[in-house]
Amino acid sequence: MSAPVAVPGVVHVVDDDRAFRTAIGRVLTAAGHRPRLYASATEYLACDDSDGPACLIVDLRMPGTNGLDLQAALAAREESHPVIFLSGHGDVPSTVRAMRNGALDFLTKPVPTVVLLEAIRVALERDIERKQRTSQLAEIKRRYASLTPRERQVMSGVVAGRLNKQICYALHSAERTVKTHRARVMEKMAVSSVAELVRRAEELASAGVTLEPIPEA
Amino acid sequence: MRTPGTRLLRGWVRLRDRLATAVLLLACAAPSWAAPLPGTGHGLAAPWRVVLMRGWDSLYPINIAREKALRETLADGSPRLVEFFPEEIDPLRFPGAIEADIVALLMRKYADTPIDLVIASGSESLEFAARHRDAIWPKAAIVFNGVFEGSQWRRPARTAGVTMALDIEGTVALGRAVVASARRLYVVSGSSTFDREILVLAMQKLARIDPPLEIHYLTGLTRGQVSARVSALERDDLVLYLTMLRDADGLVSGPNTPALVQVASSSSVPVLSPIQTQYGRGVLGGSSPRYDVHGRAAGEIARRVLMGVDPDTIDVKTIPAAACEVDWPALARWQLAERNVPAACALLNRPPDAWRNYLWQMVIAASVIVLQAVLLMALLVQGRRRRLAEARLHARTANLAQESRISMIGALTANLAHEINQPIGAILSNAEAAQIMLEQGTLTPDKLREILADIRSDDLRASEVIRALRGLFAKSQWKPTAIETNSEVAEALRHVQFEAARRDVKLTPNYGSGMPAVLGDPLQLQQVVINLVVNAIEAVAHATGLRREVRIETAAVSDGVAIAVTDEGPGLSAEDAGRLFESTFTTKRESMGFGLSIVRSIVEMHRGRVWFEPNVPRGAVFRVWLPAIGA
Repeated sequence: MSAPVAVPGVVHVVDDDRAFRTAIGRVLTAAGHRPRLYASATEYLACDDSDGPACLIVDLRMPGTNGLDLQAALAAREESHPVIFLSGHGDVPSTVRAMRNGALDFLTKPVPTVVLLEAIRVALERDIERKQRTSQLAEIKRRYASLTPRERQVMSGVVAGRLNKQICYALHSAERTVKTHRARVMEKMAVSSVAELVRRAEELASAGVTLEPIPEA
Repeated sequence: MRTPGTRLLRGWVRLRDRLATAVLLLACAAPSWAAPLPGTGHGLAAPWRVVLMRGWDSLYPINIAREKALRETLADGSPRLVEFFPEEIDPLRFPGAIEADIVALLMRKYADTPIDLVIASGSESLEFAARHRDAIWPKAAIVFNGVFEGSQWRRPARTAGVTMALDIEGTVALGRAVVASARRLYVVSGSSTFDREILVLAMQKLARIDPPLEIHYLTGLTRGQVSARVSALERDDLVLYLTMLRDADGLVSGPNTPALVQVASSSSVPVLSPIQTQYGRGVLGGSSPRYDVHGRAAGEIARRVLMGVDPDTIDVKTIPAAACEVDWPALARWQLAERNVPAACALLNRPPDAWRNYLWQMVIAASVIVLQAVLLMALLVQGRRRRLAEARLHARTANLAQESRISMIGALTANLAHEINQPIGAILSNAEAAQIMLEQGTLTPDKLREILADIRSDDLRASEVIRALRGLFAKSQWKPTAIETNSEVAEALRHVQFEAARRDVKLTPNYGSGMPAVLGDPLQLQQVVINLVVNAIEAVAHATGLRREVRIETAAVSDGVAIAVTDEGPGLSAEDAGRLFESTFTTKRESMGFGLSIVRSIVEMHRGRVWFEPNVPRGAVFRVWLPAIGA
């Protein structure tokens, strides 16, 4: 139990019960985390949450904005940390709703510290991954943004598996010109193979970025 | 240690006391002191010494009656104290042989005690006294009694006394009166000298009975044999029981006269007796002298002799048979008609005359008493049944309340779990935090103190929750106490707040002020509120687009308190409103249906009312009124 945590992080505890909040705060501090305690969802939503990695421990039932409401509010944000629900009594409908909306875990009080720390460990790792993925995606987006319109069209053609000739024909360009564009795309997107480029394109698509389409031949 | 000095002193004191008493008595008797009163004479003259010579056991009923009367008569009318010296020679069990020894003993016994008079009871005693008077009591006269007239005896000198009649004729006449057809007479007698003496007398008299009877003598038999004989007698037979002090086996019948009781109870025909003290022991009756009269007559003669009358001048008087007597239960035993008993006969042991003289009045009185008793019983039974019914109602309401509470568990479980798990969760985390810090070496005493204080307060919080819930779910006895409506309503709302939150319904309490206390069961009142609020929550939670709020208001009203639970749900149709409090009514799919029924039971048990009103513009209001204590 006293083994140093694999990944120390910021744990946001949102619970209206002061005694419980304090106790969780203590155990998290002892385990090497940096707990931040909030008495309500509103209090949390108003705070600066720039540090990471981080996760949330949220009480399901709170006066005013409850745990599920908070989850919904976070989902609307561009970036949010994993949420662990912690409740005195979780009825089935609430649990299902929470999990469907992406809750990482649903624990009931009283929660053994081992279980809580394990959930937090997973959450923080997930947050780190998320963070990494977010920064990777930002890099890809930045690189994609540096492409010229013609280069983006060539990239779409390559990703779609077209041959250089087909791309020449569609863009009414010389084959040499297309080859030059293609080399620039590979260079700017920092990939060394078509397969890698396809993966970047998928990541961009999953991040909601629509590739510049290539005109039909 | 007693010294001559103290003895002298004690003697002087005694003498002084006596003188004082004498002076006092003389002063009281001043007007007539020259002629001493009998009362004063007692203290001054020596008492008369009287020997009572008895034949046998003085506790025979006949002896008791006679001697008691004799002694009272002698002592009461006597100018001097009378001192009695009882002697029993018991010729029944010690006949003849030891007589010389008895005389010697008595001579020694009375050598220094001069006797004034010897009273001899029965002929055997009389003969003994006459034989040995000069040797034992030289100066004493003899007064005799208990001797039957006509028996074989000679009156000695200086002797006076009374004899008594043996009324065989009168006794037989009674038998003939009650058994008109009587033809045979069976005469029972024992084997002792006394028994034979009586038998001889009786035989003489029976021989002269007119018209004659066929006489059979049952003598020389054991009491068992006699009993067997008399048990088989026929309708026209009679039994005359004389005496049986001793039977053929030598068995002596003691003062309780077992022989008589055995024979009389065995007899198939009426048993007669010429001796009064045998009546009431199973015999029908007979004609007999009264032994108390006999004893009194002897006592008077004795007194006269003591006062100086020459006994030889006193005539021997015979005490006649007084009248016949009949034992009433014996009449019934032998199924004899009471009307055949001669009018001169007294009925003994007859049920009180009141039953005859005031029969109708008594029947009416008895009837009234019986009716009253019946009425009282009916009232008692009714009262008891009412109490039982009330007890059953309370028990039933308690049971329903219990079931209702069980049905509320669903609604309350969430709250229960939350309320308990909150502090328990905090305790666990605190404990584990302390453990981690301890192992890391970062646990300072201050930190530990802080943690322990938190654990303690959370523990108390959890137990408080459990206490409150256990109270709510416990099956309670009906024990009314003064309850404060507002705090019970608040407690009830605490139990349902989670349910309300879960259903996203807002509870808005509004507590009235100046609320009088009401008499009732706090938990049952909480149940009423919980039931009404849960109903209201469900009413607004089921539909969408409604105002999700339940208002709970309390107020002091005339003579009591009012509780109103208002929602703006769909409300109730007029038809539903009419059936609302029936135990099976429900508009909810998962409800057990007796929520409102139990509400009404509980409220009515608190002498209150619960009713429904439509809310304006929509929804329902449930109102409860409970009477204030003393209202």
